[in-house]
Amino acid sequence: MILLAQVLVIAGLAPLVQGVMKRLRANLQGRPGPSPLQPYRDLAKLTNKEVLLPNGISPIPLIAPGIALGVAVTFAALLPIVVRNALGSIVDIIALVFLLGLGRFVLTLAALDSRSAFAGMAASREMTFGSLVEPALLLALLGGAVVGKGTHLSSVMDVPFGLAGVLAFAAFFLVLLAETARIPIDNQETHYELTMIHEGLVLEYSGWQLAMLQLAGFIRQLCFFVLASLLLPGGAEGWRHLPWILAIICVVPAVETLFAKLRLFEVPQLFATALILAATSIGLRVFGVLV
Amino acid sequence: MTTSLIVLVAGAVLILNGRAVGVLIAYVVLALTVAVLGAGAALASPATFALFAVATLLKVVLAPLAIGLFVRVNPAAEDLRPSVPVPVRLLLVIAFALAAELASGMAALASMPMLNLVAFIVLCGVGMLIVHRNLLAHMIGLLVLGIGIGFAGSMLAPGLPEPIELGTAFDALIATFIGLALVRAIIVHDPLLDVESLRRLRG
Amino acid sequence: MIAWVVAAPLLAAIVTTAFPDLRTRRLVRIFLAAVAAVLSLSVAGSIGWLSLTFTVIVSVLSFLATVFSTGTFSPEWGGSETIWSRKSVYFVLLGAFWSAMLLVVLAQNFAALWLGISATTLATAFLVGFSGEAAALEAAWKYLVLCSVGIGFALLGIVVLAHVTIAGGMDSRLALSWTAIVGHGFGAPPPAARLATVLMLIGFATKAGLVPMHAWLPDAHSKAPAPISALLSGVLVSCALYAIVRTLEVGSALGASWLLHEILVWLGVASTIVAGALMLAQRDLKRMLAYSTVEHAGIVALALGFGGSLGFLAALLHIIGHAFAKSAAFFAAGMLQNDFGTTTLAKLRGLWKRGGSGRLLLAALIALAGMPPFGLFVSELLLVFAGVAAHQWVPLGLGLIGIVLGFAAISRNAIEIESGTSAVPRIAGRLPTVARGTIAVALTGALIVAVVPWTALGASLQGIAVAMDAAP
Repeated sequence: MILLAQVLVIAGLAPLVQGVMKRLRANLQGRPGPSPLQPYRDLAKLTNKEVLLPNGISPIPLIAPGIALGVAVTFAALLPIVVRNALGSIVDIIALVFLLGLGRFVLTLAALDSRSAFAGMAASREMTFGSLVEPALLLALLGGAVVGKGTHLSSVMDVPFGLAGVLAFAAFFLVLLAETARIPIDNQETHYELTMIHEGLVLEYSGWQLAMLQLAGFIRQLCFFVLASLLLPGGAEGWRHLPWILAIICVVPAVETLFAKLRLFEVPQLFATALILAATSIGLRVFGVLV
Repeated sequence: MTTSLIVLVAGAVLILNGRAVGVLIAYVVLALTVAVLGAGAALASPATFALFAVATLLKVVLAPLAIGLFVRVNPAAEDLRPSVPVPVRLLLVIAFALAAELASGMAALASMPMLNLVAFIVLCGVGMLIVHRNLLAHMIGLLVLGIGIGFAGSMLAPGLPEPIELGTAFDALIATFIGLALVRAIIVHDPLLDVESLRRLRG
Repeated sequence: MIAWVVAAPLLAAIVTTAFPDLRTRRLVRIFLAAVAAVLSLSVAGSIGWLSLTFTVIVSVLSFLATVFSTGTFSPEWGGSETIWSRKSVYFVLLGAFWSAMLLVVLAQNFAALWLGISATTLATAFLVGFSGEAAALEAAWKYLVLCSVGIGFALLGIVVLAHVTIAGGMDSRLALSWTAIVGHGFGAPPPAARLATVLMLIGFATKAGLVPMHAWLPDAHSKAPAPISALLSGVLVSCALYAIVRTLEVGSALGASWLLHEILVWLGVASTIVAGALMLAQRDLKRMLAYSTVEHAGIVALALGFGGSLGFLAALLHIIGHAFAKSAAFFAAGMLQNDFGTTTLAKLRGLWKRGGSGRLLLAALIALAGMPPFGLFVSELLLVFAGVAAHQWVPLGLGLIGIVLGFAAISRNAIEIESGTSAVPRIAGRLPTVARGTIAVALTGALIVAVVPWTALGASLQGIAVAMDAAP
């Protein structure tokens, strides 16, 4: 079916997107950088490695990679790129936010379960930032819902763009930076465990489980990019918005290079700004001003 | 519509930005927009146009140039050091925009064109005085206030003689230079030009 | 002709700098200042009685300040090497200040009035920060920024006023002239007129130092050199109050009368009470006098707010009396600074026995406290009558509480300064006669005001009051 093809294409392209962005970031910083195909090689390498887990853990860390990959694949299936309503009423904004929350929840539990100090620290940060990011994520996507188009995921395409659209996209962009663990919130290339947030959650994993978690992360990232492109103007058909992804792939490494990582207590200010921007866009849509 | 957006973004940058250069650029953009909008009334005769051109030159070129040169010579004073974090400033800008829209919507004031832009510019000028701690931001805020009032003049009372416009422009320029001279004397005591250093006299 | 009168003091100051020899320069300066002062009275025929009264105040007191500065230019004033702290710059700025104030009171429309007030702010910014010490720079900065914001709002109000009058059918050349506006006869009250006049009132009230826009006044008036403080407190505040009177005149013609009077009443109450209370806590003589200015401005605002011919007459007499008495007080404070090097109240004791400056200060403080036979007693009495006539019991009561607080502060400080034994060493020799004479003249002015209501001048002032009367 079309949905199966959509999921396979997204899953197949996701590591390439990650590789291209890593290469771009390296080039912007004056380094040659790895090949864009490197993530594929890394995933293949990881599947051949031994799995080592801490002693005395519950089943949760064992099932966490599967749940994470499942959440990512479901996210990919929900996106209204080609067909709008293939899965019926579960293609819903609020359901999506809860789905992402489920993934975060399970991963955090697994990290806590390993009783490692660094993983615990990363888990607490992930939960704090997650709780601050979710309202902004929800409000940024609800633009269509407040003008009566329903909470179906495709409603983000059914509203006129205008100033409200710009503000909603700005808020969603900040959320995207947070969810894909990018500077200025989190640094994917850091080696210091004390500064890790997303990397810290998967610190205890190895082998094919780590490969599943990494693939889940890549798929989630690409899905967020697709969702961001849906928020930008392009018409009623989902696939018309896809060229925006190329722009996002170029802009995100540039943002990572131009800005410095925020100190931990300054990050909530960024989320508060995103929330205010999203709330303003909702307000503008509700009152029909400057839309 | 486009002019409203430009004014909105420029005003937002004035409050949200924390560096002197960015704020100066936003000020110049705002001054140019206001000059373009007000130029229609000034085309009545060559004399009025000449006066209008001189006034615009003073406000758009000389004043920010003077402040920019001062910042170049004293780089420590470039940081505007806002006293409230970004989300609060963003809320402030949104509140100003809302207030300006509401003010222009009141029935008694309906006869005045572009009142919402005037009110927004004036509020942003006053907002800069409240939000930023650097004394240079206070000066730029006064200049923004001057622009807003000049805009009000050209929108609301286009029949007024242009010498008034020139008088207020000269006034703003002289105030800028006096302010810079004072700031040059203050910077000896406080290189950061922080308004906290001006709290010695109390009670 | 008016333009020459306005420019005369500034031209006189500039011309004076051309003389290299000190004694010649001093004589030329005093002579030219006298010429400028008398010249300003020559336009008596072409301006109204109200403008003429204020012109007299401005000219006489500015002349006295110039004489005082020439006689006692203290080295303490120009402490550091800032670009403006030079004696010649001081007198040129003083001339510019005087000219700007003349522009305010001789203007025939709001545009020139506003330009004059704005010019006073610019001319005095360096004068306030003249000594170059950190506290003076702080005072000058606050003064510049707060007054610029205030008169910026006043200009916004003037622009809206022009819009209203032009939309009401007036010729654009006369759109801001108060005689033209009052004579035009608008049909229904224009809707935006209240916004315009309230904005103008708030803007000019900032310049007059009414609470809550008074934050700059205690700093600026206490850190400026003494004769400049005298002019700022006595004359500039009076010019700002003159602008408020013109705003009231126009506002009454445009239907904003009740609102403006209410705002003035409550500004006056707030000013008298806050300033009166803060006066009790002051430790510096000049700062206490500055708060006293805020209080007296509040009394004038209260009188204008009560309205009616009684209220207006009270306000006018109070402005005149306060101008002379406050100038005398600041001149005396300047002499004290010259003689003893300090104006801190704790250090000043037993001055009655130690020469003329203490005694003259006492006389000035008695005048400021509103005691007979000085003019402020008469005007405060008229204020009470005006309040009773307007049936505004609560504001009147609150205002009287503020006046009593101010009286307590001045009396306590006066008694403490004059009595007791002094420990402060005298640093200067004999008191310059010039300075003594200046204060004596100023105090005589305050005395004369007391008898004004019973003279012909009083009758004509009452005439103005009746003409300006608009029932609140």
